[in-house]
Amino acid sequence: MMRLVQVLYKKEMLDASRDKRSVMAGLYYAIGAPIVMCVLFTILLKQLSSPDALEITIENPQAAPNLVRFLEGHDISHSEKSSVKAIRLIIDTDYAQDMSQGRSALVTIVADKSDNKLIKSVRRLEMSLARYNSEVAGLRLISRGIDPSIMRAVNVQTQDQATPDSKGGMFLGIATLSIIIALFYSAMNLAIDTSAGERERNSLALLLSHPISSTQLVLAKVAAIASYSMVGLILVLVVSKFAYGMVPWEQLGFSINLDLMFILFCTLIGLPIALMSASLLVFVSFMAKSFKEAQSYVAFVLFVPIGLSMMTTYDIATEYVQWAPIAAQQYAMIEVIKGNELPLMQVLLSSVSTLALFAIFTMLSSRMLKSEKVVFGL
Amino acid sequence: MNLFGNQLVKLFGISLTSLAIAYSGISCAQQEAALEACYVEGLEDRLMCGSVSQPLSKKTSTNNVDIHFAVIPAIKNMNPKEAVLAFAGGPGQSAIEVAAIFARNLKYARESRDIILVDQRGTGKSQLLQCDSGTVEEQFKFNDHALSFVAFTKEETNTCKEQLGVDLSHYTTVAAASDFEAVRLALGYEKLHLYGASYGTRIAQEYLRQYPDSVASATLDGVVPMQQSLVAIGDAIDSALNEVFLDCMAEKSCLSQYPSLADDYQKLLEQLRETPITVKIRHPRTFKEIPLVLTESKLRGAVRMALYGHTTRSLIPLVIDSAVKGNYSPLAGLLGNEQTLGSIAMGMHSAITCGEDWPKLTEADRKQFGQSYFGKMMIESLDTACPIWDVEPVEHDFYKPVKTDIPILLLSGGLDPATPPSWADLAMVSFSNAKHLVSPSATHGVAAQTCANKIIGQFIDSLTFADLDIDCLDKDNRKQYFMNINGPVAHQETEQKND
Amino acid sequence: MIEVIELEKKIGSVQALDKLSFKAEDGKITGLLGPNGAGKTTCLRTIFGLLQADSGFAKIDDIDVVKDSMRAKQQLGLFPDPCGLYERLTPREYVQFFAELSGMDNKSAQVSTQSVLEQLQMTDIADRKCKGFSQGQRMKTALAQAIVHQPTNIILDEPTRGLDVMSTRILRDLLLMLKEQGHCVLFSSHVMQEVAALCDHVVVMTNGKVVAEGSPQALCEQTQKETLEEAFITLIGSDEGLAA
Repeated sequence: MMRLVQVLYKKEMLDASRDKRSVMAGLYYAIGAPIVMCVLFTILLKQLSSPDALEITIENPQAAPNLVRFLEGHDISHSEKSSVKAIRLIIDTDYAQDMSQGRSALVTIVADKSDNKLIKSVRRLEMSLARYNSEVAGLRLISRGIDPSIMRAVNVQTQDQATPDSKGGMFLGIATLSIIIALFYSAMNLAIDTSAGERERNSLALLLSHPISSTQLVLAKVAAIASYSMVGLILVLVVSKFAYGMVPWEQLGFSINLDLMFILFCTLIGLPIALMSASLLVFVSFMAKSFKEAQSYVAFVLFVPIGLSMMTTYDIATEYVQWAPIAAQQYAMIEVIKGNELPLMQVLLSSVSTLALFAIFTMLSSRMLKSEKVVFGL
Repeated sequence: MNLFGNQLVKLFGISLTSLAIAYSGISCAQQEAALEACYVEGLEDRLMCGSVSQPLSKKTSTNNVDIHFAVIPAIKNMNPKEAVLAFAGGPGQSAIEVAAIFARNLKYARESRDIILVDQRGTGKSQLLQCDSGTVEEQFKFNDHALSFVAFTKEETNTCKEQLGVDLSHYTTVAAASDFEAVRLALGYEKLHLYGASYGTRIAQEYLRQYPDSVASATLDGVVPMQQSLVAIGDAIDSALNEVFLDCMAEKSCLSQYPSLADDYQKLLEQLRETPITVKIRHPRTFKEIPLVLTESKLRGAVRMALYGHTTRSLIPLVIDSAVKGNYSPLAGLLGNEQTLGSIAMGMHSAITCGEDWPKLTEADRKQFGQSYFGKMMIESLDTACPIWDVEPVEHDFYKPVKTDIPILLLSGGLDPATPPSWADLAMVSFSNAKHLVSPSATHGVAAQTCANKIIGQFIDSLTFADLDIDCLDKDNRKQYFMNINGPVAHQETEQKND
Repeated sequence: MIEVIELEKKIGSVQALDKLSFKAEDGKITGLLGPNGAGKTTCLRTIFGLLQADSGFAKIDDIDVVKDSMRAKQQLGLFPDPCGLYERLTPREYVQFFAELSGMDNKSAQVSTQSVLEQLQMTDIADRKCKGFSQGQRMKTALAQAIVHQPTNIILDEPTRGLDVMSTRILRDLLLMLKEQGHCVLFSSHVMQEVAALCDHVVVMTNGKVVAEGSPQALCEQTQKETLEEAFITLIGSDEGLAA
């Protein structure tokens, strides 16, 4: 029984390994996705982070030389250069008078806050001004004989449970998303080729004329496809490890570091997903009447796992979705990168349900292969 | 229990010098440290804390001291075998308590390396040697003019000694160095980049001397040379204050607002030397009316502490001018401003000063340093307190400059009232691979006030001086002096707009 | 021996097999002759268990292909139409794979692959990938696959379709050889000459029914025609004619 599965598996692996184009198409994703992602992240980070030396337009600086010098100390300065950010700081004409009389002196920030590229810089300017505010206020109190600490009615201390690895937020979600998708994409062509393709080349009937049951046939094919998915997964993990290492995360005060433990963990929880993905791909490909049709079906069906994964990525998953296959595993991956405790229950349960899906899709495919319509593409 | 003790600490505060000799550190058997997540005030980040148990003394190893440490994790740990070890000042400051300041000073270094903070023995969580200091009311009321300085210091020292009940000889710089090595071994780092601020530069140099193989680089910020006596600090204080007077004269608005600042200050000191002024003043926090006895030492002490920071420095002309005019509120504000220093462990502070700084004072030193007010005060207080503490003096080799070819970056502030640039020059005589950078407008602690945090990051990454981006140190970041209690803008210039 | 008894199969609204019964004996070449659409392929697929008959049954060496399909299939070799080659595998890999799939262990699969490749004189192409093979080479590979596990029964679906003269001759020799070895050879065709030249027994079918059966000579005699082709046309002609 297993012997035949093994024989067919061996043949599928050999056949697939010779199918350079399908293999490469899958591996292009595994190698390319992390690299493309890294380039995008790097550009994005550059845009999100405020430059070391922030150049803005300061109007009427002579009214507040102390403030201007303070801002310069925080690397925020006036510039006429073209690299200047579209942020204007307008110092009121009455600034000096108001300041000396102890009234609030007006400074106005003019900027488009919907512009993501500016947000960090605007916030930095606001923070610096707030710091100037409390610095001057503190000195004003001291010069009145009052301890400035009375302004802090409550001493608010925040204990951030994040680690530098866990602050990646959405980046982390996208990174893990790209890893999970690798399981689906790296063997997609192969899956179509070995099912819809096999039928189109008329070898499916020949196979079934041999003493092999349709379940054995499906299992062998699924195993072969899953093997390639796993190769894709490991590849994407290894490439990601190095590629993400090169993204200047520290600019935003966090890092995404994929260590060996994480790679092993992903490989482990990836296995049920690979089997499920392979069985799903085979099932859908057999449902289609032709290779081309299979391609479009598969592309469409893959939206489901990607959608689940997206929900985790963008953190819009409801309580229930977090227990769903794929979403739960991705959630666990994120937790592991963050160095948090592994949500064991979730991982186990979702892995079991993933394997159940694998069983269902395998069964459906094998039942389909008993139908002459499917086998002969009628 | 009183003001004078506290005041004394403030006088010495930050950056003491001293030299003790190396009877080489206590053995450090390697131990694994159990780490757990922890948090410190002012820092949101999750740190990892732990401790190693170290014998208190090499000779009588019956007692142990738990050396506590915290690790600020790197943002992106690209050098897991290396870390930055930060040494706190004082002496007597807890490195872990001021983690937020270190995190800021070492912001760029942290991008790729962990930062280790160790509470030196006698400070913070590592068997804190602290004595009570008075409340604000007690300090305000206390008349140090009326008492014999010697008698008072004696009484205070005896009380503190009784309270602590330990032999301070185990708490010197030399003895502490091995604790840092034990922490390094427990955490498994191969090489450390040292960062010391103020007194921290002395323990950093001692660590470097004892464990050169553990050190990849050192950054000394506000340098205390091994050869230098703390008592020399008096000159630095005087010249830093003089700098304020010169600054003010050079600036048109300041000059017109405070035309005779230096003279006013001298007159006020003289007056107080004769008779302290007693006034009713509002408590800085409770707003209750309390008595303030203003003495020369309180005025000098408050002004000295104000010189440490950029912001408080900008109040000095206003404080002096107001006091001369009979308004003591600004001065009370300075005196009551607690946030200038982290708390100083008085016992540990004395262990260092009496074990390292006091024994080496020669007659010539006493004469020379005694010329300044603070020098004289410090010599007097050490002469009184140290025989009571009875700390075993460090060996003479301790005072030799450290000889090394490890790359060392020295940072000094031109306006530093504690460790002036000349001290760094003295420290580096035997450093064969060192660079001294001076930020003309910085006070004490260059990394906290300038772009030096960036430079430190670059230096630790490259270990060379050639590519450091040092121009930014010249940026003038002095604050403008307060012209009135509302800020740095004088009253008059109201209608000059609209043409 | 292959036996078909009262097979009925409807595909869509067409009665593809209509109480079809015949027998192919060991040591004989049996030809299944019929016009396009007569139900030849459907019949063969049913014998392989790929299609399920609505009623009736097929037996291989007295094993019911539905009830014990695995054992039945082991006694069968199939030469499909079209060949169903894996273009990325070499004939050796291809043949050995099917040998193992038919239940041989790795070792004996290897040995018998080698011997069948020699037997078919294809050692020169044995280790080239099938992609780009000529029709003859493909046919040989497919045939090697069909006989590698030495089944008693070999079924060929339109084996000569698209073959050139040389290849057809090779095929003919092969079939004769198999017959000599005592195999039961059943093939479907619509080409008269080769059926006439090869078959010991001819089953003429149309519209899913057997219309005549016997040796080529017997058929000619039965219809009193000179050639099998004419006999064939006579045999199916009336019906066809009616249908047309």
